[in-house]
Amino acid sequence: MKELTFAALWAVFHEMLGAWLYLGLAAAVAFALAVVVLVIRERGVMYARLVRCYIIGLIGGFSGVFIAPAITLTSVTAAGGPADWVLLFLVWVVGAIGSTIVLYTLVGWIGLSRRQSVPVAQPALAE
Amino acid sequence: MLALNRRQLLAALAATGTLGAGLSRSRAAPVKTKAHIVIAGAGAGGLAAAAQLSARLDGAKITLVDARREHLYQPGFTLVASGLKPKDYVLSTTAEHVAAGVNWVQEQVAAFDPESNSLTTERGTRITYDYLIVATGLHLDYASIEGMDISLIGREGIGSIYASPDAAITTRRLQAEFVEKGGDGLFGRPATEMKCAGAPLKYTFITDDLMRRAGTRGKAKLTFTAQNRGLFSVPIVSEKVRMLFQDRDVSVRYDHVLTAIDPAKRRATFRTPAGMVDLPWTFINVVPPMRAPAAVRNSPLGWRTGPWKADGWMEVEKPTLRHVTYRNVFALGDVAGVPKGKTAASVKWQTPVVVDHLIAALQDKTSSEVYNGYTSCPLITRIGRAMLVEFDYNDNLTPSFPGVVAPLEELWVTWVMKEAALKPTYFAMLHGQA
Ligand SMILES: Cc1cc2nc3c(=O)[nH]c(=O)nc-3n(C[C@H](O)[C@H](O)[C@H](O)COP(=O)(O)OP(=O)(O)OC[C@H]3O[C@@H](n4cnc5c(N)ncnc54)[C@H](O)[C@@H]3O)c2cc1C
Repeated sequence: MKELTFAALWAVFHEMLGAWLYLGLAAAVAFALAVVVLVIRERGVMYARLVRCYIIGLIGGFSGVFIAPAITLTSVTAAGGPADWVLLFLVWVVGAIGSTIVLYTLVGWIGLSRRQSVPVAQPALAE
Repeated sequence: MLALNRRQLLAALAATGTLGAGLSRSRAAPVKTKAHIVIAGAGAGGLAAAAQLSARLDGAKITLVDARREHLYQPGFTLVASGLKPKDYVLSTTAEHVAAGVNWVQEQVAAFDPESNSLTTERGTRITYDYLIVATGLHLDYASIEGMDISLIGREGIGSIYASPDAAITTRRLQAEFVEKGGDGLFGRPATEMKCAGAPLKYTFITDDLMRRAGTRGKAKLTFTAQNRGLFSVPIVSEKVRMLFQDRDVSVRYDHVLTAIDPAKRRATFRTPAGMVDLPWTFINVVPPMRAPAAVRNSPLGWRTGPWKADGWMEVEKPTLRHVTYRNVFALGDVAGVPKGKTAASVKWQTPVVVDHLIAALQDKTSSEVYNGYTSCPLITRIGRAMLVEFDYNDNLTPSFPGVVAPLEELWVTWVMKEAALKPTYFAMLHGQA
């Protein structure tokens, strides 16, 4: 491409994803907020949970490596040169880190809401 | 609501300084003019030029002339003809791509008269212009192959991925039969200039791959007929394709020009230096000779001498695509009589150059923008892999991602570009955004 500007990239992604681009961005922003609020409410990062989620997240990375070629109508065996290995590695990294953070946050929020709902739930149980 | 979000987001990003030259350029004050700019042809080039002109001019009258109501995303034809994408992948409407404020005359141009700065449509309407951009694409001359007719596509093993989306679907049906049963597969290219010279090669590679996957490759003989001593106009690419064909067991016949077909006997006749040669087919992909559309060919706009005279390609300057005689006329896309440049990717590089020179002329200025012949072709070598072949007028390779995406390497990344990124980039181009 002659000049790969942000505006051109944005236009290309807009053509590719349409309204999903905005939904995806909105979801990303909402999720980032959820992470920040969780860390604040838990007063820091819970390392034990992070490690557990990371182990499961590795599986997420590997599934990404298989899912990404499938989206492009082929399989992982299509990879044929250094640029492909780099791209697949990036997919793996993003997949692993992404699923780790998603899991960590989900588990965290579920834990928070359980703890909150306990006093409310008790009278209900007593009935 | 979505549009508002987008604007807000752009504003936010601009404020944080993330945006590059792209936005600052479109923010340049529009040039005021009363000129009438006519664009003949509303395909890839015509639509992109209309969008860029309307963004950069204030007060101009911009008229597109083209009878075609459906817009065809032609780079997708190969994928449709291989069963990888449905027909609607390549279909949209012209109307949805015409930039706001641009006037669209839904007629074909019948004749150009550059002496009087006018053209006449098929219904006899005369349209005068101050500036003219000719972006009529090219004419697929099936009739010049003796015995061939577009209505034969789909019969007697005759396919053609070029003719139309329907022809691509029909060709896919024949390809699937061939992949199953085997036989003689004939592939080749015409002796004229052509759009996307990689497409006939890609289709050969894809057919080979489909057969290998189906376990039927042993039942078929695949032959590629080249019109001269090469497989591609860029020597280094030609050599690479020669090696790949050798690897895939595709036999190559050089100096073979398709001149006639006999559907009943399923035999194709080729002109060769040693005389006429007949080859049999079970499945043939006919790629017809290509010439400038009749209205251009019969006008004074074509080359008056040299190799491009007969086919009527427009006589324009290589770096600017400006007509050598009629200075208020430009060519854009396939119709330009320049070496290379007959791909949608070329149109993407040509359009800003043509538009800039036209706008400079409106202001009695000159532009320094230059088109170097950039042409690109993601050459599919099997399903899932392609080579990103990019080159200029001088047969130099001009890789967009040097050191990252190697031009002559069969890569999945390049396939991803063709399969996932090319179509959105093409549409962004039509809308003047890329
Ligand atoms: C099978 C195939 C595969 C391809 N693969 C690729 C690829 O992988 N990558 C790539 O970059 N490019 C590819 N291309 C090439 C690309 O599609 C063309 O180069 C591009 O569309 C050229 O744009 P254009 O504006 O010159 O012509 P077009 O997009 O063809 O538009 C021409 C327009 O002019 C109109 N017209 C014709 N005659 C007249 C007249 N007398 N009056 C008014 N209007 C007229 C037509 O109706 C049409 O709308 C491929 C093409 C084909 C067929």
